[in-house]
Amino acid sequence: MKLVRQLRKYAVIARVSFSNAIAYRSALFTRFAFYTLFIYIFMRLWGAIYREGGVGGYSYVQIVWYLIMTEGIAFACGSDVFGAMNADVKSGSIAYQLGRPTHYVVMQLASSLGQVILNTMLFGALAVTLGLMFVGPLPGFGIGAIPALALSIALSFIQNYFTLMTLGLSSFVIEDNTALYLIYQKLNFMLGMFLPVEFLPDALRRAALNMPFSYVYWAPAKLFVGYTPELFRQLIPRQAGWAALAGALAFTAYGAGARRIQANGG
Amino acid sequence: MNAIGAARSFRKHLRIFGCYYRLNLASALEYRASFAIQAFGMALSNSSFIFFWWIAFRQVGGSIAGYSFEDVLFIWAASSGGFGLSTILFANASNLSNLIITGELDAFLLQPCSVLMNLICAKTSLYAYGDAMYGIILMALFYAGDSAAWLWFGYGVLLFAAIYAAITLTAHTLTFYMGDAGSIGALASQFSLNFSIYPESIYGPAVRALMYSLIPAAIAVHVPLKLFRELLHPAAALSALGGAIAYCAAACAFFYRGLRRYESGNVIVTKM
Repeated sequence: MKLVRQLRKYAVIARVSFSNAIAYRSALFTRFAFYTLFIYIFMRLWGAIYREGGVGGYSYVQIVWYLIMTEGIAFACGSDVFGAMNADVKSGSIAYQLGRPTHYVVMQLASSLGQVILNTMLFGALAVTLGLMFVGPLPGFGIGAIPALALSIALSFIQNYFTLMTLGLSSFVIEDNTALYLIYQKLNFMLGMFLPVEFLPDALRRAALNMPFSYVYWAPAKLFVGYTPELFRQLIPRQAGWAALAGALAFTAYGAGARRIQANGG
Repeated sequence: MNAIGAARSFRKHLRIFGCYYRLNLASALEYRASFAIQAFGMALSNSSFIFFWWIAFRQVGGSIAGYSFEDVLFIWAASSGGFGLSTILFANASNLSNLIITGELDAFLLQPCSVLMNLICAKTSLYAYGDAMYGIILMALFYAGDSAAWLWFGYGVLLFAAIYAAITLTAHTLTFYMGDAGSIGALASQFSLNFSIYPESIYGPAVRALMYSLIPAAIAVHVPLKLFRELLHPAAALSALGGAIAYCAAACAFFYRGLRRYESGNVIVTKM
């Protein structure tokens, strides 16, 4: 009962954030234009690459849909939580949040959810439109794969969100943590977002599959373009594991950081 | 204005330009660790794209859309160097829409020098140093002893720096005519970069026409590459230079024409 009451509180925060996102939806149009531009460029680029010869494991249509999915996740589920954490910690405004009857980490997550849900719906529609327009339907994809895909995207969001939050909260101990953010972002780019893991050299591929970075973009996109129940059973537990670890790290980082806060004055 | 007056004015503006550069660099160096991290971060960010290309060429071998891996490195070096130089010197061009909307442009109108130069030189970007450095590092790694490559690289960097600033300025100048054009400015900048860092033949004819006309980033990167590979007659360098100068002059004229429509916001700001 207590848990339900707690969750209701955060559901209200998420609902307010969703209403805010709808009110300021015009800001999304520029992002739509950027998304379309990136997809167009990558479609043309991969078209040129495939004209030169086959690329292992993926057909041209699959690779375009793969990129539509990875870029779609980046645009829809991306969050500025790293910047927000940095600002809250460095400005000291995190101290004001301590008095609220909510847990800071969960409240941040709830207040990002509204925007992410709206983004997912709108970018999802745009992604499907662009994919159908540029390369046609994805061969072998059935409606039955949608719940599995939704779960995979949700886990990808949670893993990425909590990792970014942990990196942001590192400003409790590191004054300028931009380098950490940039390194994380680029590892995500190189190990799944721009390129499927299968394209990497053997040693790097094996390493990538044992690190968390590929499970943010590669795992959901791979599941999308080549869904099989076996692949689902293979990827989802790993995604869930990395997401749980990222969550635990964020709560630990917040707990450790909050103990260092010194609030003075009124 | 007679010739002596013009020469004096030119010298004065050159001094102001130099002064802005020194002040911007000094303010960047005030927080050295942050400056170094941001510059390093940008170089790292660019490296991830080279990694992408390395994997792509590893998959297919030979060439992609008529470009070898070394060609891609050259266009990356020229774009990155040119973009870096442009945003080291003229970073405020991308802030124009914001200045017009908030009425903060007033502060630039009151000083006894060129409004446009005063405006676009007033800010620098810390990330830009990483971009500029990255271009030079790529060249040093892959074209160290090739003087022709360095010549056309330098030519491309200067052309790209000027054209990129002019494109950004033109797009943001639209704010004088149609209200907030900040997102158009951001898109134009993004188009310029994307037209430069991928082989031009991946684009269709309509986009390629755009790359050589309205958003002429291609003449600063793909033309120098063709000159370096001797696919174009050296005289093409002069045509490209002429085109770039004409585009920049048109951007300046467009700005001053738009400026006549500006209405002061009566905002009191300090310009430090």
